[in-house]
Amino acid sequence: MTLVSGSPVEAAQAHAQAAVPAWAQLSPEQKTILAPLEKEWDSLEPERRKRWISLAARYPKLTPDQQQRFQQRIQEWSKLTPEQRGQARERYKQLKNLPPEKHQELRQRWHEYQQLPEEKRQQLREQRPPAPPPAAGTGTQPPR
Amino acid sequence: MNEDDLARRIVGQLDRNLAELPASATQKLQAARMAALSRYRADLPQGRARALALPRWFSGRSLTLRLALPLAIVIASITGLLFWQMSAPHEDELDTGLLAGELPIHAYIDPGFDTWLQHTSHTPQQ
Repeated sequence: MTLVSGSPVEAAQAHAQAAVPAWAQLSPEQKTILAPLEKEWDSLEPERRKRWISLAARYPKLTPDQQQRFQQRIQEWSKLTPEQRGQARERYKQLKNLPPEKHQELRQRWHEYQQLPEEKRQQLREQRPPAPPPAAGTGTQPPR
Repeated sequence: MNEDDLARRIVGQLDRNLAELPASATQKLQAARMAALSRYRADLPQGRARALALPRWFSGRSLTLRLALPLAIVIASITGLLFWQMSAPHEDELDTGLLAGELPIHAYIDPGFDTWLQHTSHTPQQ
């Protein structure tokens, strides 16, 4: 174990840093998967690096399309604030169990939303969403 | 003579004298002991009394009953843990789903899209 001449806090920080690998210490496969993070990797918090290593371990199980999207979105995800990541997870949890046809509908709605003029989208962002319709009869409420 | 031998001799003397005590004295001693014990139980703090009550409950039950409670606690704990793991997806799983899913990440955090979904219908919302 390395002796650290600083305070206990510095020693703890040094230990935490040592627990997660620097970019140079990643395996070639991890480097390929996490390539979009190469420049910022060594400045990422240890917890974030651990999470990315954990996510990279799931990457080989994804389909080629999913792998492509995964890599394309790495930087976007990394730039979100912790609050935004939490918000995205919550919303994802709500929608992930919808039937396949509803996922298709969601993608269609997103496409339509993207086609709206920016002013309209901004207007929608500033509006409070109306109360959801009664669940009975619509059959469109997600499970749970 | 070492300490153990001495202790044995003293205990022997005391026991001999105890056997020769008159019946009235033994009765008084027994009554005093019972009174002291009942006062001690009454003075016990609530938590301590409960802590002592459980071993008493255990000692008064059959082996099957004594095993049933800890076993039920273990089974309930494992069931709870499994249920928690199944009902609350791990964050890694959520992050992978968000990163690799068909809907862009931005769709999950854009409040305008939520409003759009509400406005345009029967859309999945919670």
